[in-house]
Amino acid sequence: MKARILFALMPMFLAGCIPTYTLKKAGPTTVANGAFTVQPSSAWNVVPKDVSRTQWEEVWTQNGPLLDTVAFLGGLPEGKAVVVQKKKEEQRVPLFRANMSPEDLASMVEASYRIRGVTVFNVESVDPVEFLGGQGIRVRFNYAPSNGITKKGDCVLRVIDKKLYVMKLEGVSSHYFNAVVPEFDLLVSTAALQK
Amino acid sequence: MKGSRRHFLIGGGACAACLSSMAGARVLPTNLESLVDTNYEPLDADERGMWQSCERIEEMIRTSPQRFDAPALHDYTRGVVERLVGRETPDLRIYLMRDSMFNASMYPTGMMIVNTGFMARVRNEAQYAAVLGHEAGHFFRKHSIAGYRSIRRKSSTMAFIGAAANAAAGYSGQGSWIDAANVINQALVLSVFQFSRAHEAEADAYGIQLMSRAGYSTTAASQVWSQLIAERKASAKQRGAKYNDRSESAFSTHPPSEDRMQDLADTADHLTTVSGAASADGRDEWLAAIQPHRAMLLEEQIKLNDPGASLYLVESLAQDGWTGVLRYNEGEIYRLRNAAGDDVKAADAFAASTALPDAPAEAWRAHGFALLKAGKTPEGREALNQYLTMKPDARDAGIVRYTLNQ
Amino acid sequence: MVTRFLPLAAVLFLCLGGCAATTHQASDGFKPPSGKYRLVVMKPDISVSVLTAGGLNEPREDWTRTARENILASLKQQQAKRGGSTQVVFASTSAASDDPKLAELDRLHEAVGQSILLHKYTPYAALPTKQHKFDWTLGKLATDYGAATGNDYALFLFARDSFSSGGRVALQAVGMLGCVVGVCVMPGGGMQQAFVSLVDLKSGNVVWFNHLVSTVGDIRTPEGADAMVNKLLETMREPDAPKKSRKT
Repeated sequence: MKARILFALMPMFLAGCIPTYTLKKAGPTTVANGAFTVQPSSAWNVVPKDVSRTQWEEVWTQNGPLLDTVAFLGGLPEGKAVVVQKKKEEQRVPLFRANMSPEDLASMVEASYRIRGVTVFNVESVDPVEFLGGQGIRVRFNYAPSNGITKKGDCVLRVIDKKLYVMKLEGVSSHYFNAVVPEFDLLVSTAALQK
Repeated sequence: MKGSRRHFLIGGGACAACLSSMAGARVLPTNLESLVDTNYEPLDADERGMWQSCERIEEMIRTSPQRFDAPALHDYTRGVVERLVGRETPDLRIYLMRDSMFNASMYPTGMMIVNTGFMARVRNEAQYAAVLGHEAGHFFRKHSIAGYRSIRRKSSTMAFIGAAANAAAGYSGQGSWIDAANVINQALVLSVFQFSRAHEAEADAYGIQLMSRAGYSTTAASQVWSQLIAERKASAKQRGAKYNDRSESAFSTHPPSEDRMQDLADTADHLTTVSGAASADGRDEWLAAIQPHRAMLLEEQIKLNDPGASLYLVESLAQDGWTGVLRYNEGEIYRLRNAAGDDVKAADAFAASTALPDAPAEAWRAHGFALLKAGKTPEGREALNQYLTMKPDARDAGIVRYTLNQ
Repeated sequence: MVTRFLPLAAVLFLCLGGCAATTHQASDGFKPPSGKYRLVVMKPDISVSVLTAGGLNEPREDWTRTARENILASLKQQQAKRGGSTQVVFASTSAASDDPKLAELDRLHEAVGQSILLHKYTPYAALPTKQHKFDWTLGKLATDYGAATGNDYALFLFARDSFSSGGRVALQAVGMLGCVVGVCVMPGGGMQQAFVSLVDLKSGNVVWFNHLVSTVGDIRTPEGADAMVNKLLETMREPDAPKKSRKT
């Protein structure tokens, strides 16, 4: 009886009905549906797609999404949001517009946390950055989710031909964020638009 | 994520905003004596177990990065509670928490949690006292344990719900949290059922009785809910959504119902007729206590980008006159909403803010970027320079300087 | 041997009839503590509850207190055999005894422990880059703590036991949905669940981790506590030694 339940369950895993983490080897690769390329120096785990993320986003992790993630958002068109949200939702991330100022872009990043219940959110710095062959902005921040494990974030954004390109590192403040910073910097500096 | 967060802070199973009452549930504030005194210790096995679970939760709350470090406001809050209760309250531990949700909650061990999202909406001390008195009602009438015991009598269908909720909560990576509050969380999951509404009505009655004795204007209790209902209606209208006081909302688990507000108003009338005593709303006291934190409280709400609710809040505060801070926040609401024509509305509000003496530095930044967007480059540059002059070490000084160098 | 490769959920299913199963993880080159060493048990999170007829898992303060005393006594005895002296840091019960660094370490371990449970014990969530690696760490927070206290190892312990009047099988199956979507939170029903992780305070690394699910035993008794501690820690040996799962 017990064995039967087990064998009924096993094929589900084996057939891959449940999406799994996949391997991303070191070396040049395209990300976010081929929107741009990056060159990781180490292997990464690609986080399975889920309904909470838009079609433009791809997420990687080293130690698991609770500890660190690097997200790539490629070519988000005007009028869309960086997160999945309903039109009549009470709290919404501002929709992307190509004429957004650096202040607007930083607010958009911040709103994506606040609407998910983060109240303690601090911007550490907003600076210009070289990204995808031009000037973008870099927002560094920290925040406290309700489970009390404070996290840090580093988000690089640039608008190209009225489309938004983003790379974002986020990780637990103790150890995990800092551990991924060098690789994230490398990913940012090697990022190139896909021809 | 939102769901599990609610489990966490509202876990006490006794919270101001989490239950809607039903028609006919009104309890008159007579013979509601305290069941708990300062030396109270849990008596039965189930109650002791519940206390033990709460201790772990309290340690997490105490060391939480969400603690709102505001000693004067903390003391003020305790003062209001002690005025309500009519004695010193060494048995209560009050924690102010930075959480933008409208809520306050009470744990059976005497831990009281007051959210900044509640403070942001309060207009006078009597309103503050109304919610704190309600929470005290849960505590002094021992609702947690009573509610828990009544849940225990329910069928195993309930346990099914609890197990499924735990399964979902585990996914958000808060497993041991959820475990720490296991019973309590199950109590929460089940709290939408009818039996606990009686407790809500009783806590309302108890709170209003405390207010009356302490000389607070008892109409404040129904005002809290009527303001909240007006705010939610404004929010719904803005979004083109239907207002529904039974539906779950992002800012509180369950918005207050109009029935409950009516019960409170009726009780207040009753008490006024009975006592005929003078009462105060303590508006000046409240404004003085909250003034140092006003900008932060507003920021927490406005950045949630719920434009209808935010405009309601800002415009209510502006009834006493527009300030630079309020105009700046009005502009921020339009900037974040970012619908057709909002750039002009935002620009006007930022311009108006910078013309007022208390304009925050950020108003100059926003004004500057708005001018640049409108093609008024020299004026925009001047405003951004003013921002840097006022705040040379601003966190975003890097990008502002870069913009100026373009 | 076989159970090591089975998903946790499956192990749990197999266990419904009455058994105990553990599956451990160890970092590369792991050497179990030996010689003279100082081990600190960090805020042991132990709770025993009764499963009520209505289906609630109700914590029992007296059972929990007894179980905690039993487990810590067993642990001290077991570590003493290896040459370790064991201290216990209990959870803080007042603001005066709060230590912010310790609270942060505790939370960090919680996130890391969750990640280990998720990515090493839930088959669909396995991380390909960690297929043959066990290298989670608590970093500088842990090494700083070790340096400040002179402890060599920190042991994080989480244990749950519950006793029911029986007939909870249907509910347990619902609880297992949790195992499918993420971390298992069992609704209980005469079920023991525990995990331990050992952190080397010299490196900050989680060097060893074990998870126990059992439908037998009773940690309210010294014998039951000994049994749990032994099941949890007996496989603590070099990773090249055969890894072992137990069914009793």
